[in-house]
Amino acid sequence: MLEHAWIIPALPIAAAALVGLLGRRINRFAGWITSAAIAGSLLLALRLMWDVLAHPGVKEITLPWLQTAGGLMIQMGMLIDPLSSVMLVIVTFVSLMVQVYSLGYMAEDEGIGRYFAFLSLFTFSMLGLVLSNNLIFLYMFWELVGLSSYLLIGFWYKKPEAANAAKKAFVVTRFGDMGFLIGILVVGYFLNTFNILALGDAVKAGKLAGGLATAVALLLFCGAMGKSGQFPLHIWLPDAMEGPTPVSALIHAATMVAAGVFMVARLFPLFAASETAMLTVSYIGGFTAIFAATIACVQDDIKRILAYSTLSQLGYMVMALGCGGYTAGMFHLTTHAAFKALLFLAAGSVIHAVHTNDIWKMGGLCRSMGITTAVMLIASLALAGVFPFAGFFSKDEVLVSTFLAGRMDLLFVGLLTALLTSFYIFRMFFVVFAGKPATDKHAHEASWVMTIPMLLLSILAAGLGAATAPFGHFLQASFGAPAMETEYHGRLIPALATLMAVLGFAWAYLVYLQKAVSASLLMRRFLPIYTLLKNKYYIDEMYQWAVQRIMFVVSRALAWFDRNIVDGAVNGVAWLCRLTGDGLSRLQQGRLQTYLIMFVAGVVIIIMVVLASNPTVLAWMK
Amino acid sequence: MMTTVSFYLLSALAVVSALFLVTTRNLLHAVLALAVASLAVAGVMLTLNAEFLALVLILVYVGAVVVLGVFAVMLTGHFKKPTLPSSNELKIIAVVVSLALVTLLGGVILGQPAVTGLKEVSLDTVGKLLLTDYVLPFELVSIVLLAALVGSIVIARGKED
Amino acid sequence: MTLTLTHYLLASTVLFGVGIYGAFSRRNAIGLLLAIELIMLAVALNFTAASNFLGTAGGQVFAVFVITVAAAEAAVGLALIIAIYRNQKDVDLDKLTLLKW
Repeated sequence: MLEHAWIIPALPIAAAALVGLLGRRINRFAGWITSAAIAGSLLLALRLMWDVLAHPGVKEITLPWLQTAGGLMIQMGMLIDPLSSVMLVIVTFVSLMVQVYSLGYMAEDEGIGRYFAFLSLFTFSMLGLVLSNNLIFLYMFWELVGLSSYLLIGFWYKKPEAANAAKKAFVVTRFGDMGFLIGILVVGYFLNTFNILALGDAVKAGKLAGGLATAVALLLFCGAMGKSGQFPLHIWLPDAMEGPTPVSALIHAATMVAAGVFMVARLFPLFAASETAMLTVSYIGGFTAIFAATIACVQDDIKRILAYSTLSQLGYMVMALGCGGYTAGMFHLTTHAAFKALLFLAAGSVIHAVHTNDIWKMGGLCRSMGITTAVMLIASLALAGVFPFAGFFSKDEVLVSTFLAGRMDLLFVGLLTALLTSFYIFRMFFVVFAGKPATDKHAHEASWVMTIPMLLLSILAAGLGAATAPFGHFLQASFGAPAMETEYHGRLIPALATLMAVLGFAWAYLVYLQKAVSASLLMRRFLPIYTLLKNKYYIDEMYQWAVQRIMFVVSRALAWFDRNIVDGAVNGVAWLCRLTGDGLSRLQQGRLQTYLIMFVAGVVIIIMVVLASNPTVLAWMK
Repeated sequence: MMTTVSFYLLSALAVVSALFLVTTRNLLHAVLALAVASLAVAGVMLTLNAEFLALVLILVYVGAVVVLGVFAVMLTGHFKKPTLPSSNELKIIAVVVSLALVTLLGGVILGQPAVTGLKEVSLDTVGKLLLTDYVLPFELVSIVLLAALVGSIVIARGKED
Repeated sequence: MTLTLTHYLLASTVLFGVGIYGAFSRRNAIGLLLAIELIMLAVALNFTAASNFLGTAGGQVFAVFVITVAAAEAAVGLALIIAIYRNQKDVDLDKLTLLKW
């Protein structure tokens, strides 16, 4: 099976090519074709995971690709270990759910063929990213993932907001990717290999240490910051919600944004080599977690609430990784993929029914949309970290990892974020599903192609927590996994986390369901804070200001330099050439016989040179 | 002895008429000088026992080239005004360069060992060579002649029709 | 004093040099063409002399070729002169400066 792992990404790309090339003619079947391909990939991925479970360990399949004169070899290859097999299953599973869901959600869209082709392209890129055994291919697929994200955010390209959001996502992640690329090149330069396994060995042998290790780790982390939306490169993710909701579920909640976390996990030895880098990573993660959670508390757009929630949860994962909680971060990634995808799909179902994103225009939907309400509740409980839902276990792991790393400040941040998380998600839940209907339009439950994926995902969101211990043990066999963390069997942290979840729930309950405390009163009391949060800490405005006041000025100076100095040099060379040409063309006065004389004089000179350099011919002269 | 004297006389005649050709103002005279020079060179060829070539030379040069030259002079009307200076202002450079060339070539020739004694080269052999070893260049030359024939008609006729 | 190949070669070299001078200095295009004919004449003589002194018939064959090409060249050249004359009303090479930048 291992040798045939390449089929897993090959199926979606084949489907994408087929659907993309045949175009609108097969619009009706497009989704079924790509779904079938991804179902095949899922089965193969499960089979692969089964094999890896049976024989844990790291397997690499390589094929030489480029060989440079300096002895640097770039291979094409696949790295199959528990980490990648888990990611394969997550990606194919969520992709399949989203594809099936899209069959219903996107049914009336005329660009449906294009949509499914893009979606499959994304799945292919993500699977390739997961399987890559070297940094070059990792980067290639990384960019492909970014491209498909761009295409899908801008899927409704006739909508200016969508087109702008796509551009924003592309440009902002580019900042991170720049650092990532530089990091890759620095690694290749100093360690003379791009192979991930070889890099791990080199780091173990101590070839990367001190400031260099920190620099490399931080540069690589730039990529993760861009893709996983860590502060300050998070601004693109909320805007990315302009894309179709299933896309948000797949790319901007479950898989692509997890690519940054996956990358950090994949290159864990490189990060672990530097204390400073780990510290930075964990603080950026922690800051993003609480920062995004506070913004999520005041948003009105259901998808934006979920987007900020995603940012916050990604911050959790990054924080766990930065604290050495390799399995904790990956486990949270897994459970998060399940419940966040579910949240988005449920949100999509709501949006599909009421045709608005504003939670204040919804309300009372629990009566008409029973299944959606149920799955949304399960997902919300999982997100809030209520026992026995999946989020409880994984969030617990994350908090434990900060505790074990001895970082009480981060533990505190994590607990506070848990409180906020619980609050904002139940705020959303109560406003959307409870209370009186905001409009008299009657909302319908979604069709079965949409509900079945949600139900499947809700089983995972509810039950994945049971896999905590086996998951940890399984992942230990991965390349780069640190030795098993000391077990934590205390009850304090789970108890605190649950307390936070309950507090948040109670707060939301009091404010938005019982109306015991008036929301508007709270808002007025804390108006400055509310305004600050509502405007997302003015980060976008700051960027705007930076671009206008700093970049434009610098650009203008550079433009002047370019126009006058660089172009001047170029034009000067051209002017010099023309001058020389003008001068030389005076020789071409068009008179045949001058040419003839020059020609014969040349012949005479050549004969002279030959004679002078050939003494035997000249012998008679002596 | 007879041959030696004829060689010197004829080559002197050839060189003198050549000099006349390149310096005379009257183009018609120049054409006639070419005829004289051709005849003289044909004579020199006779001293080499190359009768066939001498005849061909007279036939082609005197019979064809000179006649063509006369026609050209007549058609361009240059026999009417022979008072123009015959040479341009490049005269001195031209003298220097051609003298240098002659000196160099002559030097190289003088540097080679002298070859004496004429060998018999029969017309028979030449004819056979033309149709065996050199048949391809021979055919090519015929094509060149054909092309020249057609080409000169096309060029000279112009576009009046 | 017997004649050697050197005598003939020198004679043809002088003829050649005179032809070259003519090609350089003749103001009239017809003169230029005649000078070139002179050069060809020298070359034909050269080939013949070498052929007969060295006993190889190939030289004479090439002399035949040279004469043929000279005839062709004369025909085309004179045709060109007539064409130019018809266009420019002159065949003075100093005035035919169309080969200019």
